[in-house]
Parts: sequence; structure tokens; C-alpha cells
Amino acid sequence: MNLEHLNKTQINELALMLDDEFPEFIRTFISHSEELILSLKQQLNTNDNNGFIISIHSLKGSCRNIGAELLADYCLQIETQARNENIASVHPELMSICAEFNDLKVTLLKLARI
Amino acid sequence: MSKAPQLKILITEDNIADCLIINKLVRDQGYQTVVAHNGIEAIDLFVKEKPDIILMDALMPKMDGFEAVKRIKSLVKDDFLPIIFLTSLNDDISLVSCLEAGGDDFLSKPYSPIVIAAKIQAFTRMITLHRTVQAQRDEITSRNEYLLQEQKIAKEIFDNVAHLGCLGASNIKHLLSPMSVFNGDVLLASRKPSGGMIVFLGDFTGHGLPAAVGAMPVAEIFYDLVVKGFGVERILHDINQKLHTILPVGFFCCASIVDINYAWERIEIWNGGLLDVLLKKNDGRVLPFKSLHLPLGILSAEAFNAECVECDMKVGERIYLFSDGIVDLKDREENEFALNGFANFLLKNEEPELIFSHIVEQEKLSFERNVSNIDDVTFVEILMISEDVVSSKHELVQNNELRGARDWSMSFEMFNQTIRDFNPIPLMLHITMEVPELRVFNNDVCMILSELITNGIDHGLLGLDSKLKNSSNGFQQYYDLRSERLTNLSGESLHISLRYLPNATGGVLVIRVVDTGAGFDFSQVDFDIPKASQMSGRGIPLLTRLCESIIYEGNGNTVEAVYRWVKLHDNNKL
Repeated sequence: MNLEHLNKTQINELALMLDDEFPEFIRTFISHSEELILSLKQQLNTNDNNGFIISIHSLKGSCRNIGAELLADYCLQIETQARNENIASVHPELMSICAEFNDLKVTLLKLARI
Repeated sequence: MSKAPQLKILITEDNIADCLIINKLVRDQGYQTVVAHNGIEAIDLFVKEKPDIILMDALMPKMDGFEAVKRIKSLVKDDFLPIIFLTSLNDDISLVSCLEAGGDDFLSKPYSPIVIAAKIQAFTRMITLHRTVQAQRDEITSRNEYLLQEQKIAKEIFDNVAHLGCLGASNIKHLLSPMSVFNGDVLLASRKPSGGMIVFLGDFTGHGLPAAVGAMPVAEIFYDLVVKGFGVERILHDINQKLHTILPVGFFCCASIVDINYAWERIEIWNGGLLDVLLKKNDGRVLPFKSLHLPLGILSAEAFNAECVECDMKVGERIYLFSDGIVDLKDREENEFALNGFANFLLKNEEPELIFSHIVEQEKLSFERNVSNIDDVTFVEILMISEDVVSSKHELVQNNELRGARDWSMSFEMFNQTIRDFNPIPLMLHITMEVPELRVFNNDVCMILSELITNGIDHGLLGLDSKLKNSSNGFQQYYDLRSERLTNLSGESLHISLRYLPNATGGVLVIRVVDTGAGFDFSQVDFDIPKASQMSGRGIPLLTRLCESIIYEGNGNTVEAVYRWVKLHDNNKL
């Protein structure tokens, strides 16, 4: 993944604001997002529509905050789809979220010099 | 406190990474934070920590933000608790739900430190303002309660001083409408020791406490003087002087006073500044008694004029006294009375017994229609009734004092100027009232004294013929002649002596009046009760009824009356 998928100004502002808490924040973001993605998969399997919407909404929010705009857009797409239709139909999109997140994770770890 | 107090902010956000950012942002602004990760935690923390502002994520597991906010709002009552929803701009649909749940504002992701700072600061200012207003409101409320409590107590005292006297009498109907706790109007009525009645209506400038404070001495003077037997002129003089002394410039009391004489079916009226006192005659006419004087409290004692107008008032006739609030009331056709409306209403009226209830109804209506903008309406109707109907046992306080004057005599001699200007009856009554057991018979004593003294002056010294009073015109002639002869009085005197002797069953009061006049042939005195229409000569038969004996001596210029009283519990008087 390249930095185009991440809003540079925004992530820099965050780094500046959080200062030495920034690496800890990145770790929290990554681990929490991984938990959410895991939840999404489980909720998809158990057909937990409500839980799925809450999880994808939460992931979307933190992606917006960190400046991961492409990932946030994917999330929005899936959230809308999940609200309007059955979540069974979102399977392919969920795969692209996983791929995009893995790219983002590498970029963030580098950025935070972890 | 020059610095804003450190506010506590509750952050509720299920996403740990987002929570970290917003927590950091808020703390960096100098606020204290507490953090919850779902709605249930948020309610718990709200109860424990009592935050000043809440930042609330909408979608959360366990309990979402909408539900949490609804529950928290139900706990805060009238405190101002700003709630800012944390949301994405894309969640347009959710925004309505946020507002419906009780949200005050939104923060959208990604968070901007500047926007967060601005919003929290704005709400901080609103909280400070709200708390100031609340504190002021609470202070005003408690002050108001305190004031009302004070007024309630003051009102109790006031009502005891300015009590309604004998307004409960069957021939008086009255309406008093209080504007606040205190009314600017004062209405007083008292039976005279001689059997008549005096009614006073005063309307003070302004309302409430200042008016009530002014009304207190008026009531005190009024009741004190009437019971002691003083006449209207003296009462007016004393009240005017008192008010002149105590009231600030620009404050005064418009008043009218009516002295009702049931025996003579006559009234005396004084009106200073009030609307016309109206007399509805049996023949349908309405006689107005205009204000001929300045209100009480304006003129100095020297300039004050307490001269009354006299008039016949037959049984069945009604006299009306009212304060100026009446101009706002309406007649049967719903026209406002304005200035002369009530007089016209009276004139047209053919069912005088319904006039009072109409006024009461109108007053109630206008009070309901326009609560804030109504003047006091005080309204009194007095019906002339036959003397026999008026209860002779008036409500004098009878206290069983052990001390008192029980064996004494006194004599008092008046010369020209004193005869002209001084009424000795209150002075005499004051002494007879010192005999505790005699107080209930004060009425009788007063009547005997006034008859004997009036006879002594009018007939003995001034040589007036009481037959003049047999006609209404004669009354005026009689009084004109009386005042002329009084002015020219010289070298005369009237000697009054009282002697009180107690005995086992009660006591005897001997009253002796000696005048220096030419005397008269007392063998001609008619001791029979006269016919009701015959006014003159009534005094003496009345005295024979009250007294054990009436004896004229010498050439008729000395009279001695013996009044015997028997203790009340012996159950028979005389």
C-alpha cells in the first residue's frame, strides 16, 4: 500500500498531537481494528445483522479519524449495504477490507517506527 | 471565581482508538475526563461522576447512545447538561435521532481539535450562564417566599387592627377585593355608643404595604374614637392630622365617612376625594354626595374642614360608598360604568335589592377577564332600617376586670367657647367606662348623657324649639339657628355632674345637668312615647324608658336622671 490511501496531513496532525503516545495509539488502532474485523467475520457467519452494523460503523469511524479514507469509504459502502440488504451479500467487499487493512497496517507500523 | 471552574466531561465511545484521540483532545483543552465504552457504563459513570458535559457515540454495543441519553436526561431534571453526539457526517439519518434523544450538538469524524475546543467552550459558557440564572432564580424564589411569609404575618396583624368592625350587620353589604395581600382600600364600620353607626371607606394612593401601613393608624383612631362616643368631625380631624404627619408628600387617603342615625333616619356624610357617595331614595331618585374636600392627609389641622352634609334617609333607602375601581365594572348591557355609569345604573334600577349582587358578579367577571390590570374595588351598601331592628346590645368587649372605679363623683362645667367647640360626651363616657360592670350599658349611658346635654344646650341655653325638627325643612332651620346662637353665646355655662354608687345588685349612676338658661315649664313635658313620625320631643320619653327617674328642678334648668343597673348574671336589667 502506498501513502495515497492515507491522508498525510491528518495522520501527521495526529502524530503531532499525540506526540509520544502516537506509537501506543497506532498499536491500539491496529489491535482494535483487527478485533473488529474478526467480529465482522463471526457476525457474518452467525447472521448477526445488528452486531455487524455496529462493528463496521465503529471501524469506519476510527478509519476516518486516522485518515484512512479508502478504508473508511469501503466501510461506509458495506455499512449502507448491510443496513439496506442482507449482510450475506457483503462477503466480497469484506475481503477487500481485509486486504486494504493489511496494507494500512504495514504503512502505519512504518510511520510509527514500530 | 475569575477562572472558569474545571468542568468534567464524560466521553462515551466504544472504539478504543477513537476514544484515545478524543480523550487526548479534550484533556489538552484543560478539562477533566471520564471514559465509558457503552451506554450502560455511561449511565453508571454519569450517576457516580456527575459530569458537566457528555460526549456520546451513537452506535455502541450493549446500549447505544440514543437510549443512554434518554435515560440520563430523565435523571437531570432542570439542570442544564449539554450532550454532544460523536458521529460521522455521513450519518444524516441518525442526526434526527440524536436530536430526538436530547442531543444538543454533533461532532463529526475526523475530529478537529479546533472544532472540539470551540464547541466545548461554547457549552461551558452556556453552563455558567445557566447556573447563574438558576442561582438567581433560587434566590428570588426564596426571597419571595420570605416576603410572602412576612406579608402573611403582617396581614394577620393588619386584619386585627383594621378589622371589619360591625360590617357583618344585617343591613350592610360589602365587597373588598384585594389586589395583592394588602389592599389599598380600607373599610371600617363601628356602632356608636348612642346606637347609630359610622362607616368609613378610604382609598390610599398606591397599593400594598405602604397603603396598609397608612391604614393601620386610621383604623386605630376610628375604632378608638367611635367607641368612646366621638363624632364624625373629631374622627376626621384626628385621622387627617395623623396622616398629615406620617404620610410622605404625594401620598394621601381619599375617603368618605357616613354617620347613620337610625333613630332620626338621618345621615351625615363627608366626602374627600372619593367618587360621589350615592343615596338611592325610595321614590327612585339618586342623590349624589360629591367630594367637597381634599383627601385626608393633605391639609394641616388648621386648614382641614370636617364639615359634613346632612340628609334624610328613610327606612328602605340605600346608600352606596365605593372606591374608584368601580368605573371598570359594567352594567347589565355590558357597558362600562366609567365615571357616571353607576349613578345611571342606580337611577334605572327598580330592584334595589339586586344591585349589590350585580356588582359582586361584575367584579368577579372583570377579575377573571383581566387579572393584572384591575384597580381595587371596594363597595358598600348600607340599608336604612328601623331602630328597633338594630340590635341594641352591641359587641363591646366585656372584660371582667377586678380593678376599676366603683365609687366616685365628678363635675364638669363648660363656658361659652367650650360649649361651642367641645363635645363633652366622650370625656364623660371615658369615666363611666372605668366602671367595668357598667361597660355593657355604655349604650344607655351615652344616650342619656347626650340627650341631657343636648337638651341643656339646645333648649336650656339656646332656647331652640324642638318642634322645628318636625319637618325636613325645619331641620335645616333648626341647625342654622343653632349655629348662629352658639356663635353669639356669652356669659352662659353648663354644669354636668356624675355620681356613681355601687350596691349589692349593681349600681346607680346619677347624672345632673344644670344650665344657666331661663328654664322652662317642665309640667308641659310630654313623657309619652311619641308616634314614629314625630321626631321632636323624642328625647325625654326615651330617657324615661332608660332611667329609673327623671326629675326637673328649679325653673326647669336643672335635671337629674337616675340610671340603675343590675348585674347581668342576675338575668334582668332594670
